[in-house]
Amino acid sequence: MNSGPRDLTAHIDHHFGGDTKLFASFKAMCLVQFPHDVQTGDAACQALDAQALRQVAHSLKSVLLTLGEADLGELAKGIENSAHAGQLEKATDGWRMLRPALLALAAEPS
Amino acid sequence: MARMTTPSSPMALAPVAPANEDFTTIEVAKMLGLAVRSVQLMVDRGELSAWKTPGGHRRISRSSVEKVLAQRNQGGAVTQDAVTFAHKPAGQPHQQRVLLIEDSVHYQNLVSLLLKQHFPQVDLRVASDGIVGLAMVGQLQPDVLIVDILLPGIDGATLIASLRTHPQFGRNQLIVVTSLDEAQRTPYAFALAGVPVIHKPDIVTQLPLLLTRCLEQAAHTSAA
Repeated sequence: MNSGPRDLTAHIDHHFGGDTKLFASFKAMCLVQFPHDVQTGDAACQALDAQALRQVAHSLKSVLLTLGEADLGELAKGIENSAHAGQLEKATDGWRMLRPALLALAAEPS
Repeated sequence: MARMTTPSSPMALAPVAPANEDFTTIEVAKMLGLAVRSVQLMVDRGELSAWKTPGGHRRISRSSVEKVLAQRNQGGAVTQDAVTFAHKPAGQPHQQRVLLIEDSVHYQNLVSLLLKQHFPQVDLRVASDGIVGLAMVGQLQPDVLIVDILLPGIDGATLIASLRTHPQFGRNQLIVVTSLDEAQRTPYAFALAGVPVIHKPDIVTQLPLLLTRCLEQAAHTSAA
């Protein structure tokens, strides 16, 4: 799901005005936070708390898009929409797919 | 953001290793010999990397603290700069102040990076929910407010509508940042009329120019 180098360059040009240093700084901070976002999402699923799951998915949707992870951003958007519609089972299924991808990103060397 | 829960759920989610190597704000204040507020300001400015627990408590990464300590040992100015920043004496020229009301740690970090890069002279403060943000507006009288829409406590649109009932709010410049697309913003349209709105994925390319205009307008209003 990761963008290739050319896609990433185009993404940084478009969304970061070509500022690769700023992109790298932001991404490094995101990688620190992702495991804790996973904890938050897990807690929401375990508590059957659709609103809390919606909030974390809503936040992650934009963050992932900002990082150029469009596919993961769409996955987060689906979780957000399902949770908002009260479809907790569907939202939880989506979360089961998103959480390992977040942890894999967090494990990337920054 | 989320409620803390017991692990009795039937969901079989793999545990995440707790990041217990990181520090609380108080611990970092003791380690650096600074006031807690100074440490908070260093986080706001992106000089320390922080994250939040599911219960909403801030934790500061060990690596960023070690970096600051290393810079201090090498004679770096990061920590001293933060102290100066936090204890600016009265009577100095007006330092423009921006209040960011945003619950996402990611976007708190990104706005801090942007302001540090483009507006190093600006005093950035951060509130993580709408109720605290509302209180901080009255307390800090920021020149510019940057407000998210979906917030814990009260949402950003309600917060804006509430602020508009106060005459002094006319002095504040306002920017809304949101992950909501245009269709999703419809329920909040009552508060967004005439307010510049930035979609979060475009924040890096749009915020600096918009904030420049708002700070100029605030300076003009303040001088009038």
